[in-house]
Amino acid sequence: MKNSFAQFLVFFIFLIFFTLASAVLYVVYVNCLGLDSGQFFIRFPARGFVYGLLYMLPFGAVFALISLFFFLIRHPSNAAVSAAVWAVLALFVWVVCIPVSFKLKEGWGLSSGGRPAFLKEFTVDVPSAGYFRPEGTSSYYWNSVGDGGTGSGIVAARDSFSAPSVFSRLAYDADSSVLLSPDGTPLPELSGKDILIRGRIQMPRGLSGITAVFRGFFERGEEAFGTGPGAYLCFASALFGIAALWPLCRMTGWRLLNVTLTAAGFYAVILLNEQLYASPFFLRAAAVVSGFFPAPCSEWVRNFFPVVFNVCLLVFMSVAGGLLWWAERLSAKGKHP
Amino acid sequence: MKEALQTALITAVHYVIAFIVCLCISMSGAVPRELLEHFSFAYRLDTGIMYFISVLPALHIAGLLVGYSWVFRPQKSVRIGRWSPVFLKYVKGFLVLTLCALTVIVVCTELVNPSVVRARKNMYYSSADYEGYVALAEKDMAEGEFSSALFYADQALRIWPLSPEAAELKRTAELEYAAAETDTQEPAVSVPPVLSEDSVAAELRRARAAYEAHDYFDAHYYAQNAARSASSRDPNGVKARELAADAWNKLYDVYVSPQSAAEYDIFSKKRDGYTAIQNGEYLHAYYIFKDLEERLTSVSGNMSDPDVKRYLALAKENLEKVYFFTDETDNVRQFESSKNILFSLGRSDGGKDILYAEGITFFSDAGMSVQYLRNFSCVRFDSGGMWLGSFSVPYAKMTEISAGLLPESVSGGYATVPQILLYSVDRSRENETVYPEYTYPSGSAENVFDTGSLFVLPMPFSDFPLILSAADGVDVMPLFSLWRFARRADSYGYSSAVYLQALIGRLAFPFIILILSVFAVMAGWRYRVVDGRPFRFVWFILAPIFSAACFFVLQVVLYISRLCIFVFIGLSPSFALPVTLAFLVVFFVLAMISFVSQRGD
Repeated sequence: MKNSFAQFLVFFIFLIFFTLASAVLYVVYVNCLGLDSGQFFIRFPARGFVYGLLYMLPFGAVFALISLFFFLIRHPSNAAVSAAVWAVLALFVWVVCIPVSFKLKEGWGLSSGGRPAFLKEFTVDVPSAGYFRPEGTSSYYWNSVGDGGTGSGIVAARDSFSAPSVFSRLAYDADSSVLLSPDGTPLPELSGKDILIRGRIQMPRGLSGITAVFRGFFERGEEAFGTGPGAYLCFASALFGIAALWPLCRMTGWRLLNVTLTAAGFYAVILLNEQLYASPFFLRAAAVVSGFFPAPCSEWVRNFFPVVFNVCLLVFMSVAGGLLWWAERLSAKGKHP
Repeated sequence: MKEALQTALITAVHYVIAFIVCLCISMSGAVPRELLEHFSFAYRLDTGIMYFISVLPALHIAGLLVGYSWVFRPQKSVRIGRWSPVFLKYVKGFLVLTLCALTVIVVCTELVNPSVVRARKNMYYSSADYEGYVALAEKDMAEGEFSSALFYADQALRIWPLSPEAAELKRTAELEYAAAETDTQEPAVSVPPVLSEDSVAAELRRARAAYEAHDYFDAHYYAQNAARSASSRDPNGVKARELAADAWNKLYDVYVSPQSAAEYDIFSKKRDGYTAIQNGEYLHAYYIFKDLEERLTSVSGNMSDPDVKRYLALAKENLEKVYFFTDETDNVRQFESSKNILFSLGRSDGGKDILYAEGITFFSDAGMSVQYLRNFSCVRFDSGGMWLGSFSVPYAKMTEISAGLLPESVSGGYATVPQILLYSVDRSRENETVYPEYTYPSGSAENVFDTGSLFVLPMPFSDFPLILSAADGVDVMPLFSLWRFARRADSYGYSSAVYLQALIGRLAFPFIILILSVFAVMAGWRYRVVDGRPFRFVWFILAPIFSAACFFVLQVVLYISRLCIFVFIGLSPSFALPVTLAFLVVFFVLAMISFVSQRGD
C-alpha cells in the first residue's frame, strides 16, 4: 500500500527531473546550433529555457508515467490501489500537463510559424571567415565577412579540374535567411547555422528516427488540441494504449525483461498512435472507411482510428493479463496445495 | 569473483553470437563493383568486423545487465541493507571485468577499427592501382617496352598474386624481354661523380692537374670553385682566379685551328654549355649538354665524352633544385592517395593563401618523400581580405627542405618546411616548360607571386600529413594525429572546435562506458530474476532485445555528452578536456557510491 501511494512522489520527482533535464538539454542543443567556428559564444537564454520547459513538459510527463511502471516492477504493491493512483496521474498528464504545455506555448507567443522566435538569435546569417565549409560538391571559404552580408572568399568545386574561383561579394537574402552564391544560386546548406558544427551535433540516424516518432506524436496532439476538445480527447486515447502495457510489468519472473518489454511496448504504442494520424496507409484507410458514413461523421473517422486501436489494445492486454494471472495462480496452487 | 566470471561468460556469449550475426550480415551483403574479385572476402570480413566493433560497447553493457541480473538472483533470501559488504565484494570483480572489457573495446575502436577502415580504403586504391598497372603493362607491351611492361605486370601481381590476366602479361613480357635483350646488349654507363665541396687548396690542385692535362673545362671549373670558396685574405684565391683566367683563355685559344668543323661545333657547344653553368643558367646548360649527349651517342653509339657527362649531371642536379621533369608525372594520377585537399595558410604580412590540390601522389625517392600535387592552385588575399591574385598549375612537386637558409618571413620560422616546385620542363626539348597560369584582379600589380618556380609554404612539414589525414574525416583520424591537429586546425581553415570535440569525445568514451557499466550492474541488481522462478527458454530468445535497448541508451548518452563537450569548448577551449574528464570522474564516483548503497527488496 505504501508503495502504491509512493507513486505520487515518484511521479513528480520523475516529472520534474525529466522536464528540467530535457529543457536544459534543449537549451544546450539550441546553443550548439548557434555556435559558429572560431567565434564560440555560449549563452543561456531565459526565454529559450522557458520554451524548453514548455516544449518538454509533455515528454517529461509521459516518460514519468511510464517510469511508474518501472517503479512498480521493482517495488511490490497493491495492484488495485496502484492502478487507481496511476489512472489519476495519467488523467493529470492528459488533462493538465499536456494541454498546459500546448496552451502556454501558443499563448505566450514563443512560437512563430512553427518555429520559436527566440531561435532567430541562435542562427548564423553569414558564416564566420577563415573556414572551409562544404556545400554540395563545393567548398566555400570566406576570407572576410563584413557588415550586411558582404564578404570575399573562394569556392572550390571538388573534382572539377578547375582552380578555385574567387568571389568578391557574398550575397545574403535577409528575407529568406539564405546565402546566395556569386551567380545567384541559393546555398541552403550554408545558411542559418554553421554546417561544421551542425554536422557534429546531428543525432545518429537510429536515434533521430526514434525521437522523431515522439516529436511527431506530440505534434499530432498539438494539432488535435488546436482543432477542438473532441479531437484532443481522441488523441488522449493514447492513455489507454499506455495503460494496456500494465500486464507487461508482471509478465515474467525476470524483472529486467519486464522493464525492457514495457519500454519497447511504450515505444510501439506511441509509434502506432503517431502512424494512425500520419501514415499514408492509415490516411487512405480512413478515407475509405469514412465513405460509409454521412458527412458529419466521416470527418471524425480519422480521429476515431486511434481511439479504436487504443481501446482494443487495452481490452486485449487486460484479458491476456488476466488469463496470465489466473494461470499463474493455478500453477502456484498446484505447487503449494 | 565468481559472479564476475559468470557474467564474463554471459558477456562472452553475447560477443560470440553478435560476431557471428555481424559476419552473416556482412557475408551476405554485396561487394562494391569497383573492387577486385580478389578482395571480396576480405572486404566482407572487414565490414563484419566494423559492424561488430560498432555494437561492441552496447554488447558489453547488455552482457553486464543480463549477467548480473541473473547472478544476483539468490540474494533475495538474504536481507541486504544499504552499504552492505555484499556489494563491496562485488565491486572488485565488476571492476576487473569492466576494465578487461574496456581494454578490448578501446583497442578495437582505436586500433582495429581505423586499420579496418584503412584496409577497406586501400582495397579501393589497390583495385584502381591493379587496373592501372594492367593497362600500363598492356600499353608498354604494345609499344615494345618489355622491361617496363614486366615491371607493371609484377606490380599487378603483387596486388593480386593469382590474377590470370597479370600472370599472362608477365609471362609474355618475360619472353619478349629475353628475346630483345639478346639483340641489344647496352654497355653500362657510369655516372660521373657529383662534385662535392672541397677545400680551396684541394680544388686548386685539381684545377692545376686538369690544366696540365689540357682539360681546360675542368681546370676553369675547379679554379672557379676555389676562387669562390677562398676568403679575401687567402693567397690561394688570387692564384685560383689567375688559373681560371688562363683556363678560360685557353678555352678560346686551343681550338683556333680546329681539326674539323664538326669537332669545333661540339667544342663550341660545350663551351656555351659551360658558360651557361658558370652564369647559373642550368636549364639552358642542361639542354645544350643533353643535345650534345644525343649527338655524340648517335654518332659513335656510345657517349664517351667525360666533359659532357660531368656537366650534364651537374646541370641536371642544379636544375632539379628549381624544376622537375614533366614526364615524372606521366603515370602518377592513378596512384593518388589523397584527393581534394584544401587548406589555408597565413603569411607574415597578415595576408592569407588558400591552397588546393585536386590529388596528391606520394613517392619515396632515395629516402626522401616526394609528393606530386595535381591541379595545384593558390589564391592569395591581403591582410584586408582583398584578392591579390591566383595561380594554377597542372602538376607541382613538393619536397621537404631545411629552412635554415631561408628568411623567417618565408619559412615562418620552422625547421623544415614544404617546398613546392611549380615549373616543369621537358627532359629533351627546350622551351616546353610548363609554367603556372596566373590570374590577377584587373588594374592590380602583377608581381604578387615573385618566387619563380620555388614556392615555400610557411608551415612545419610535419603538419602536411595531418592536413591530409584531416581531409579523410575527423572520425577516422588516428588519436595522436587528432591530438596534434586539434590545437592548430584553425590556422589551416579547419574548425578547431570540431576536432577538439572529436578528441575529447574519443578520450571520454571509455569513461562513459565505465559509468554506464556501473548503472548496468545497478539495474541488474534492481531488476534481477525473482527468486524461485525457473528459467524459461523463451527468455533466452528475447535476450537480443537487451542489446538493442543498450545500444539505444548508449547512443543517447553519447549524443548528450557530445553536446555537453561543445558547451565546455564554448566556455573555455583550453579547459574543455580537463573539465570533461573531471565531470566524468565525479559521475563515476557518484555512480559507484550509488551502487554500493543499493539494498534488497
